[in-house]
Amino acid sequence: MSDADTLLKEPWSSLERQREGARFAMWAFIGSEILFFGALLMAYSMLRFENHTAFAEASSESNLFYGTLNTVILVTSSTTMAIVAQACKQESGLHRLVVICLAATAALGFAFLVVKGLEYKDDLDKHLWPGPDFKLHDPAARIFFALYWILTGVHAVHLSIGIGLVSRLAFLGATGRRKLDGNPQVEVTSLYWHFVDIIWVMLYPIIYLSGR
Amino acid sequence: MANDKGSEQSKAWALWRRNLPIWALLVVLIAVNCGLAFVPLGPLDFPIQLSVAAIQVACIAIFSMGLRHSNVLIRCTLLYSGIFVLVMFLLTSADVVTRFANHWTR
Repeated sequence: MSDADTLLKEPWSSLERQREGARFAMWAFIGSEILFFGALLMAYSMLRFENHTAFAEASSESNLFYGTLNTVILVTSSTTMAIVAQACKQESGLHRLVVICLAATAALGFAFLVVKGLEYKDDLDKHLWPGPDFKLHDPAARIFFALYWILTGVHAVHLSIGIGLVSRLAFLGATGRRKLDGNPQVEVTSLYWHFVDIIWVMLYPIIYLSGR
Repeated sequence: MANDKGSEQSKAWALWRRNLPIWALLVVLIAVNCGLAFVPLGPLDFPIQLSVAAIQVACIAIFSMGLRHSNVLIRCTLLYSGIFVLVMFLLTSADVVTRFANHWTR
């Protein structure tokens, strides 16, 4: 049985068609996610238009250091994931590099969540949860922080799923249970990871920079 | 055996050489965006920050996600999503802006 046969799944007649199908399915999923996050970002834009000053004041309360650090972490993880996808697509035989970069990607994703956890703790210490003890007086600042917790929370859920997918591939590759070279699962996981990175790149200016 | 190892190393270096400049560009753009936040640009500051973020998104989509080599079907899928988001923004902003216009003219 050849390598292509072990990767080939029903109902596909060839690995190339399977890869095309998987790629298209992931892009269609990304399209639906663009609509999901687009609706949230639209809500942010319209509410910011109506409450510009309060949003700027609220944004200046966010922790720029943690936000910037997390952006660098995710961009770096995107680079290691891109190397994984390119190495597997070329079927370069760089098994060790692929497994190391997958592990590095998952570790960087986990580091992002740790930093995010520290940031959430800092936010809660500063009473930035829009509850009874909320720090800011303008009611519209509550809306900003409601969106902040929703957007970053939903993003963290997406990232956690990505960490699970990448860790699975790293485990299967390291233990030799699954061939990663030419495997369509690698490209699909890589697309998902980059999309989660893109969402954060868009969230960074609207949460952390707009009120400085 | 030694040749195989040398070939693997050169392939690995080629991958790093291809991706590290993009990573460096993205990190520089993060620094630019962060720096711009402290420059008083008036009403232009937010659009400029979003534009820098859009450049970063384009870099990731084109180079890391391989959009430049993607087929027509995938580009159409993205285009449709973009059109629907645009329609959603246009209709909602039409409502918000006209309500504000009424408020201002009172």
